Amino acid sequence: MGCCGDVDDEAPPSPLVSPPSDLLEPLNSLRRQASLSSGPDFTISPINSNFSALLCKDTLRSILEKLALADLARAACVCRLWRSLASDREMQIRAFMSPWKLRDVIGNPSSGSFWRDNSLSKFAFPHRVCRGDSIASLAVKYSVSGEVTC
Amino acid sequence: MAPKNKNPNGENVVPEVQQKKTQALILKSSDGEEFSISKSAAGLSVAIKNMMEDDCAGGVIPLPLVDGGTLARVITYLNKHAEDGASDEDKRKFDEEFLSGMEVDVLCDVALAGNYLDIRGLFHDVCQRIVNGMKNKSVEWVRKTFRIESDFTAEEEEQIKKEYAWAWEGVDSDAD
Repeated sequence: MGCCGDVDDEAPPSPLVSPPSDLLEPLNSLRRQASLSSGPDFTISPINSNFSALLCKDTLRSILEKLALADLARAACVCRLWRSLASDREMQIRAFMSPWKLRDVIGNPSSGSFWRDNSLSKFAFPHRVCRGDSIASLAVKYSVSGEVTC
Repeated sequence: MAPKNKNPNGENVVPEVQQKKTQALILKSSDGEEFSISKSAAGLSVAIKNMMEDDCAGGVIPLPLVDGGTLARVITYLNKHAEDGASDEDKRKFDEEFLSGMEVDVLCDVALAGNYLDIRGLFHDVCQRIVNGMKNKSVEWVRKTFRIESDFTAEEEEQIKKEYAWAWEGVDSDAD
């Protein structure tokens, strides 16, 4: 970005708007409203907003990185730009592994439905199932953390 | 004023820390609005801090990628986080209320500004909020909400729908 505003410096300082009250007032009243109820019809958005953040690869990547696996897979179906970022293998693998603290995922899934969830059924353990073993006890045994639903 | 705050000529000197806090900068939005902000609050933005350190700010910092409405929100955030005596709990509560009222397009604008101005905490929180909103939503919902037109060819679209059929079924109702 240009950092030296030489042109602007030449101009006489115009009266300062010290955060304009007409802009902050809606925010303040919004905060008051928000604590009471989040009215869906109340909007402070500028009309000309065009979601430019989602066109900025950097920002979009930061958002997609935080998505859970299934949401990330959906994001990959939205449009070309989203697909190019969300189908990035590294990102998918990270989303897949994050609840399980896995070290790596080997091979490529044969179908997109692989990314639908990352439940325990997706894993093959070299484990002899003994009487009394449950999914939860296996998870504990293999130090798998995250939500375990039986 | 205590004697230690006088310089050799006997004039009062504002302690450096205080001076830093009270000095103001001017941030200029893309649509020409000017906002006064203390240097301590502005310094929470790594990008602005770097400009101040390089001393090329010249008192007025133009921010050609941030519109006035968004900048006002960012400044509200920075002021709160630079506030003396605001505990972490206060700030957390403020952040929650600050973000909870924002529509998704405003969140996107603030995310972009947070990234551009390098305000990590704000950027992270806003992204997380957008992500929370996308949880369990169908592809159609995401397209509609973010006003994204699918630019896949008809064949590609069909292929994706076949491969990811489940992705079109929003777990949550698409109504909201």
